Amino acid sequence: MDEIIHQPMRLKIMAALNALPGGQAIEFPRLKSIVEATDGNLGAHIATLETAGYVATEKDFLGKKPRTRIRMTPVGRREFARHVEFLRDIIEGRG
Amino acid sequence: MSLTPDQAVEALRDVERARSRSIAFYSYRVSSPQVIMWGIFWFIGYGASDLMPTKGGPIWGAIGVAWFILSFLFSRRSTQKAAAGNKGQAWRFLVIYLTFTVFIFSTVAIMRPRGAEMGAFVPMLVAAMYTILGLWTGWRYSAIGVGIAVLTMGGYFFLPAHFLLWMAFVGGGALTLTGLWLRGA
Repeated sequence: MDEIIHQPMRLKIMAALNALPGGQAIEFPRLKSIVEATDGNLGAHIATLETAGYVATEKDFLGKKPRTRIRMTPVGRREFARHVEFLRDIIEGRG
Repeated sequence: MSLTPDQAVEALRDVERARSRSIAFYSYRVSSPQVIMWGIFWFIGYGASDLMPTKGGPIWGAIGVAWFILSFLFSRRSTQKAAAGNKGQAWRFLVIYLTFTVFIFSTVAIMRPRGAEMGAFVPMLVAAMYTILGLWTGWRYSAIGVGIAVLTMGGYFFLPAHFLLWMAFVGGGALTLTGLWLRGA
């Protein structure tokens, strides 16, 4: 089992990112609304996922406002799919 | 660490919930320019129809063409952003547009609504589409659908003398604000 992905908040983050078409990035506040996290909590979990190579963050400015966007990496997509398969295997008694 | 089947079910439920919310929020963001555009078109179309009642046909014809071109461009832009994952979207949009155009023209040819009747018919169709779409994609679409229906029916039955103006200002304004509401989701 992938302990990094399986943590409940990180699992939600990965599921939310995986649902975006074509590997698009999502802005931090929007991701926060989707997974219903606080700023600090979300930031910490994204840092963990980034260290593992599962997500990548991009920081830039939109006008004068700083913007952080998060996208899933190909490695993250593969590991997430593997983890979901692992969960299905447990449910179906194959795990 | 090992998991029980119940824990795995709970984890997959979380995955599904996050996936649905992510799709809904993405969809809100992508569709918000279209909803704002509709608000502006309604304002122009209903306002101009009120000022020039005999020119309703050409006014809405021109708006239909403008809507098609802009919607196609919006659709292509979102397709390009989504890269390979969404290549069929522009064609799907074309088919949807043609389907509704044929449906509206056929229904109008059969039932021959005039003036306010025609002005209420298309918004009610749009309201039904949004309400149904919301059941699959996100509750905000259903809220838009119900809102359009209530405003349209309210104007049609309670303000028949000023229905077109009502739709221009209240309907167009409400759609524009709704588009901004979707963008902020």
